[in-house]
Amino acid sequence: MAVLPYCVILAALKVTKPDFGVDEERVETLDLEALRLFYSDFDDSALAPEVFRQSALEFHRVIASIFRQTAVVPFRFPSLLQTREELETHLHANSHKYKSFLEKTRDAVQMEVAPASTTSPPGVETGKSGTEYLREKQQRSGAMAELSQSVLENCKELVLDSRTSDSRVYVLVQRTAIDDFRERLSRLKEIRISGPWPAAEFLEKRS
Amino acid sequence: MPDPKYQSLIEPFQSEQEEVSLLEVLDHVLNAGVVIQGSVVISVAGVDLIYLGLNAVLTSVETALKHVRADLERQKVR
Repeated sequence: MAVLPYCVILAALKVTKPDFGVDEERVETLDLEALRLFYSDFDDSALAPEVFRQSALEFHRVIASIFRQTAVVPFRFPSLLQTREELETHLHANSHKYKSFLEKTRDAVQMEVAPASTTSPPGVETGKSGTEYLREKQQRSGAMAELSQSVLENCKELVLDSRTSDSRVYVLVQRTAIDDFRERLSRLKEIRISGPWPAAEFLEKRS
Repeated sequence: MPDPKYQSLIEPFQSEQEEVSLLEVLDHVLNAGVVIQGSVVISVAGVDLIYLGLNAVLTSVETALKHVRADLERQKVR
């Protein structure tokens, strides 16, 4: 049986964890170097197509219930390791990075802004010529740069950090500034705001 | 009592309107967060994948996500 990590927090914080996670497995904790990692034992059957979505949502609910209380380093679903010892090795190797990230984002969340018309990720469509693809990509890039500028102009005092991809603007704001952030962007037309999310876009992903 | 700001993250799928939230949630769960480099043994879509690097697993998950999206679209149409 593999182990499934959910997320990492600063161990010094008092946080209530959910008792059960994906596939009704108990949520366990691993404390190492001032960090606390939440994980469950994991059986491959939880990835079967008929339960895959349910498993992904159960995974999300574990992270969300912890994130509601404090900043987390979230893992992707399904990140699997063979043993608890491998988790320890991973946590030990990344402890400095995770600690500094969690300290930096302790009271922050990630908000996301996207054009309202974006219904599918770029690049999903097929059957286009290379020229059409590059032209659309250029247009999208220009539109995202404009959107990013509008967001930053409207929320200048609230933005702790920001990133722009080819489909979204990611903004790091204080937890206490979520309502203000939404309010200030309500005057912008044809955008979709989502969040609060864990600040995953502000962490180097590959470990 | 949970902070209402985070309510959508805890009980996100209470209404039709929040199907968008469902897609957002799945998108985040599958595409955001730390990727661990390692070896795994899992079964995706009924096919055993033995000792794959995690990147290969995530590629398979992309395919699974497409099925989930298609399923949601079908439910919307009904």
